[in-house]
Amino acid sequence: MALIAALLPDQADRTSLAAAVHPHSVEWARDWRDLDRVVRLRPVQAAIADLRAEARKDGVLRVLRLSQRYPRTPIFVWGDPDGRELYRLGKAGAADVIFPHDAADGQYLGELFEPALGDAIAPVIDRRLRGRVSEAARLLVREAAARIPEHVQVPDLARAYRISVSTLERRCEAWGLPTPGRLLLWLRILYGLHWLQEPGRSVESVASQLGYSSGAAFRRAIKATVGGRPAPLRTRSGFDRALDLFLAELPGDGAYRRVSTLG
Amino acid sequence: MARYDRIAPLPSPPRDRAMPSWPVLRDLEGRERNADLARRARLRFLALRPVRRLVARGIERVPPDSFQRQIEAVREELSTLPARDPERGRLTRFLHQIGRRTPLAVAAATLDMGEALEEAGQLYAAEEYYRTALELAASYGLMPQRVIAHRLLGRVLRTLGRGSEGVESYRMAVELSRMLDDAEQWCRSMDGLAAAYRDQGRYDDARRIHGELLEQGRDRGDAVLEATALAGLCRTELDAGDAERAVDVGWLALPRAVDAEQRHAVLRTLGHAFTALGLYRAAERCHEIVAERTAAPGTRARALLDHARIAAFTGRSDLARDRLRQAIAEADRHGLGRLLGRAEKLLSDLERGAAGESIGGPATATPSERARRIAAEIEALDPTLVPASG
Repeated sequence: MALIAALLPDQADRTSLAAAVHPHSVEWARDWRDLDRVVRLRPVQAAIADLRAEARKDGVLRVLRLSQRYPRTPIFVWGDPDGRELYRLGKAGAADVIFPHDAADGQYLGELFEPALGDAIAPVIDRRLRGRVSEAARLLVREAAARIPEHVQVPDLARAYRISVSTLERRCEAWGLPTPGRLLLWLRILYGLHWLQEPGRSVESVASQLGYSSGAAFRRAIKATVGGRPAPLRTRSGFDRALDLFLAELPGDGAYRRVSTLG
Repeated sequence: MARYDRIAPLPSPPRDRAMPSWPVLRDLEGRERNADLARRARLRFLALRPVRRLVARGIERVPPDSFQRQIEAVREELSTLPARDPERGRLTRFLHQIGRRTPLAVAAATLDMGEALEEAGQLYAAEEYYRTALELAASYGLMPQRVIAHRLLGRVLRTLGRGSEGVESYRMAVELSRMLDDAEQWCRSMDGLAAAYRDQGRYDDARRIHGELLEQGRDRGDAVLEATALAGLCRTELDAGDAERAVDVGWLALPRAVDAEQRHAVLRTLGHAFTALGLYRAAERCHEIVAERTAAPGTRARALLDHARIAAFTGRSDLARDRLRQAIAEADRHGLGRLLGRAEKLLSDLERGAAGESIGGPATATPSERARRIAAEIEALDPTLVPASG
């Protein structure tokens, strides 16, 4: 389930949005500054803002600032911009516009948000796991990855499978995966490094999104997995390097090990 | 809003990273404060969104009632244009056609709308409409529409000055039309490819393409191929700086033209060639005939503009003003933005006595005897013998 940050002062707009994005959840912001805070501190996958949420403020310019600080978070605009505003919105990096006449069409709204609300990281990890571990192991990793923003812990994962923690550990071993705790640690690091590619997010804010008690705890986790400090890893290549290290740590199960050895 | 717009200097996002249909609005570049243009650009953007939705989701996955609501909402927005505005009529027709929701109807309507926008000088909008139609045609295996979309895309890219992209598009159109064995589209795509080479100054490549067209035309006994090759070659020779040769080829092409519009295109090129040779009376005659006989508003406005340029250069300001006013009226009536701008600029140059700068002097001081003889024949040409188009 994805989290959306929204700045919509009008109650009717809030109702339309909440209905259209159900079962995803929405966190409401009070103003542009608050919207920035929500995106920075919470694991949001998309932001939505009414261009005229605050009088005397250039909404398009606020969209530009958000898109510069959070280039991987799609920003949707709610309202009825004129031609010039639409042109400026495109340059400012808005993902799309929801016009008043579209707002009542839940079906269309759902279609507009669908690509933005999908998990961008889990499919990348899953693609790299193909051929290394079995389908069952990949399913476990996919489910664990999808719940990282919810701060999933090992017992939660075991409960989802209706098995005990020790059974989950045995299955991970049989499937050639690291222990469930280590797996979640790696997934948190990968999600964290993905979010850290956005200049608006700090190590502290990402640590909080991932459920760490502090930025220092997140830094320690990076040191224990990828090694080094987070700053040099705040790029796409940093994420790719972490993913390579995670894959190198996978024992793989017997059959898949043989396949990968054969090339 | 701040007087200084911090967003204006930002580069435009690439198409794959821009919001759907946004490239339509790029016609506002540098003219963001033109309220009328902004209103129209917004409507073109809104009108294309339902088609983009079909492309993104697939026609079968878009519920018909939701799609109809979307179209209806755009239709209501059209009331911001005057009732008799030609663009309002075009957009209304477009919305009606896409409402049929068949891949063929939607792709064809999107291509038609793109052509109307291109003619009106809204080149980025035209490009986006063509690209959208191309995606739809590719998704639904509509080969003939893919060919047309590639060809039209090549043309608009040429006009936008993106020659290499234009060449690529035309090459695709040539390949696909060859696969389809569609002689007409192949001929038009080859002609466009030659024109794209010509724009890039690759005259030998352009001549090679025309040569291939001519050879095919003669082998198959296909008059259209032969006429298209000669008309294109005439233009290539002129652009390559050989006005004498252009007159020769144009004179050969004129009686072979397969329709009135092709004949008018040859006459315009001949007019330019005569101008380059300093044979102004023959040049004027060419443009006069085209302006009188053509049924295409764009061609008429261009011919009037060309005529005005010659009149201005030869010191007949009153005649030039008269032709420019006619061109402005024609361009305005049919929403031909680019031509309107050019005609208005020339008129303003004329008023400040600088119109002569917009036309070059003759390239050859002494035209050959043959060119003079052809010029004399053109001067004596009875316009009633040149069939009108339409």
